[in-house]
Amino acid sequence: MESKSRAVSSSSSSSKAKMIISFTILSKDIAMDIFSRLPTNSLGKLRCVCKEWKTLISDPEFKSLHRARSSQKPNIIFVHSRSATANKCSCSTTTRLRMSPKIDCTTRVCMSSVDFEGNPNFDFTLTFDGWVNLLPSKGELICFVGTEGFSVCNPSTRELVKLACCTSIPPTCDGSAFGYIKERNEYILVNARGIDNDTGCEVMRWTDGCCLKDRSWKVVSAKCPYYLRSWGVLVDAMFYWIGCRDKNNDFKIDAIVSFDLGKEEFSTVVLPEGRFHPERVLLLMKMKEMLCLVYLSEDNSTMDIWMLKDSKNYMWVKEYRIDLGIFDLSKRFITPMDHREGKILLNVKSESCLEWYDVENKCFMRINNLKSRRWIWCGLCTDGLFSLGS
Amino acid sequence: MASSTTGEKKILTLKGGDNEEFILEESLVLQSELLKNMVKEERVSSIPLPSIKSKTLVKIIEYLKKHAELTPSNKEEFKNFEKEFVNVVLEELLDITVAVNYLKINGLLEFCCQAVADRIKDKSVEAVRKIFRIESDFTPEEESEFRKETPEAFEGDLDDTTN
Repeated sequence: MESKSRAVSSSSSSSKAKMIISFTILSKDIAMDIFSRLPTNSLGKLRCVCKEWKTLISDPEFKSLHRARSSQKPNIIFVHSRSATANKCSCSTTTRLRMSPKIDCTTRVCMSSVDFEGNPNFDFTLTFDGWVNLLPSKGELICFVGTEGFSVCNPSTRELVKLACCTSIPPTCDGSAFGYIKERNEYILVNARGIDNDTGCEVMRWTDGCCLKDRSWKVVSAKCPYYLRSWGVLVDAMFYWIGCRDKNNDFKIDAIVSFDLGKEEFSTVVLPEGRFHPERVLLLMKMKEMLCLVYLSEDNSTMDIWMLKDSKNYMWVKEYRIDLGIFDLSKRFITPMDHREGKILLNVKSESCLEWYDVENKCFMRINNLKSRRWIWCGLCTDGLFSLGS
Repeated sequence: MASSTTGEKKILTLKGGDNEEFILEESLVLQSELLKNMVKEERVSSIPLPSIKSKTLVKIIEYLKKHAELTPSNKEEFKNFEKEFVNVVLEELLDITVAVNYLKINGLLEFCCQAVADRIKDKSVEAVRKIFRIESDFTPEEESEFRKETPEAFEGDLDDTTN
């Protein structure tokens, strides 16, 4: 039996051996090719088949091939939460996933995922003490922030790790940021509360397999000169947030604040020039590896997406204009999620649907099969084996 | 047969595992990196492929012919052909995949690997073991640990037929 399964990892010369119908005659390369096309839950089964397959699936080379393939076709993840004590659905009406910070309750967070055709992948629930918010990364991991501090989850493997406490005041979504650097396969979490925070800013970084629960924060002395609205966006080793001078009027944006991960310094980005009303900025996001500023017209009927084409010279280009006339504008809850092959994926939360906007033909295509799903947050997530070392 | 532009078409013989011979134009086999190198370096006219069953070779030659005729206008037709091509019993699909990997026909290899992946995606551990004729080399303790940790791995599609 041993010799049978051992052949999986042998060189391609094994393909010249006599033919038996089994992977034993397949080279490691071909087994890797086939396995790398499977979702994580299928790999969870295959690793129980035999020792060779188990070793292959945890091989870093295999993991990176699998990651490269699955990032080509990310899943859509829906998050819905309810406070377990109040037993009342806490749907928020702003762009942010905001829940009233009740300490003496637990929050049940239901996560489910589908592919772009609407086929379901997984469905499970996590429970947190107190309230919880969510920080997306567009990678394999999702970060939660709440009464318990920060927790990180890989929804594909369901691994969940609670991080060490920050030294500063309890974290919130505002001023936090979570991002993934593909080239280094590294996740970065930043807690930068803004001017009311005396301790500056804290950063945690980790790679695959690192024991996350033992990881500690790096305190950076740089201080952020603005109140930061919502979570930040990571683009090319820089985090960006919407910054406000007035804490009580966070709909007026005064600056886009950046944090350079290399220099560990805060700075500001010059806003687009011209007829630009800072109050109409909906959010910041990353598309096509560039920082984007999403802007709504006064009557909410059009959405403009500005792209920071040159981050050194602050060159902003109004790249897309989307006519939102077909939607119920009174609820105006439409946010772009991603850009793929000439189409922009839009989250129309108020109508519980996702639409592809075809940039060239200026038309919408709804993703069907979402059934009666409801969500307070939805985003893209890569299926993968990223381990949190627990 | 002579042609004014391409000159005489070169003919090549492939010998399958059961000694059956397949005569085909050399231009067709150039889609295989392995055969291309053999033809170029050694200028052979007959290539023995003892590890590939004739039945498998027939399928692969069928693909090579179709692929050679691929033009922008019959793309759809080719896609349908590809779909039908992998619509065989799993045992045969694995034979083809192994052979295609050996012959290094890159486009087809991708397609075959995806087809195998799609077929084993929902199978349970036991079913996969039976399909690939693998016996568990885990200790009974490890085995029961798996069943405790990931009970769902042992559920799912128990169908171990290779259809």
